[in-house]
Amino acid sequence: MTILSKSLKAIAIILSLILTAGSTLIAMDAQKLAGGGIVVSDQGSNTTESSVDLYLIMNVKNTGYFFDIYDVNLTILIVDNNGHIIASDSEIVHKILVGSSAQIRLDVSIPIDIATDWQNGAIKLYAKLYFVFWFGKYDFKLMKFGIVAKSELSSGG
Amino acid sequence: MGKTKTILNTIITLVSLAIAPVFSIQYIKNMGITIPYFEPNTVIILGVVVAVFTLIDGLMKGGSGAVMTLIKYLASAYYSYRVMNMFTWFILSTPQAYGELIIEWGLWLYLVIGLTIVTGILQALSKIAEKEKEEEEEETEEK
Repeated sequence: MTILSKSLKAIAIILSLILTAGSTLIAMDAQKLAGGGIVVSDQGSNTTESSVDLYLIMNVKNTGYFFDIYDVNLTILIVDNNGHIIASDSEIVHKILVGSSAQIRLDVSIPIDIATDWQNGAIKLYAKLYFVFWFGKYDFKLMKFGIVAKSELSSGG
Repeated sequence: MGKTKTILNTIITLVSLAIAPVFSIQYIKNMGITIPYFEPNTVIILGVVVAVFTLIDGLMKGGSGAVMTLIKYLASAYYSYRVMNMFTWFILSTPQAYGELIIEWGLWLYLVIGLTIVTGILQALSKIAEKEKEEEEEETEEK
């Protein structure tokens, strides 16, 4: 095998290794983020004459090894049994570097008549949480992840 | 490349590109996770095609071998493109929980395809360089 042939093969192998290493790093960073990077630090409600106000504070920490997180979009939808949107809120954080964190607060307001029905058990309400972000490095966005979780809101009544 | 190595490479390609993905999806389906865009038939067909190209590529030498190498890597890039686009929507639905994971491969997809094609070109050039060296050696021996 000639030196040229050997060099070309070596470059090809290095490129393959870069791809494999990149894929592994993304998988490891995603796993670390899913494992403990997103934490609900506080949540609560406040009832007024016209509405029931709910708030949710989430702490997003980039616990990964290599990739930064860009355009983190956290959205909450309050929907009823039929899928009608009762309330919504959305927040965006543009960049969370490796090792750093950001706090995101979401506020939703449920009209009092709907809240009364919900507390009486006449209707069910669900919280649908969207968590969308990009993995990237040096301001290059490589891969986008979107996570959607749906859970029933407990009326306590 | 020796025949044993070629056969081994073909088997590894067949298992990793055609058989393993289909069985893995079946396994995670039992855990309550579905992948709506996953097409097992397409994965099997494309996986088998890449495996066949791997076999032919291993058996051929010289210029035609280099062309085969390039075709194999192009097929592999197309496989990556099709299969990665199948893994873009995951749904977890159990009586206890409901969740979705959506992936947009973005620049990473183009990086994977680009690097696969560049690797293919380099491997093909390396095969041509090998052939030229062999021909030079043969000429020297004849003189």
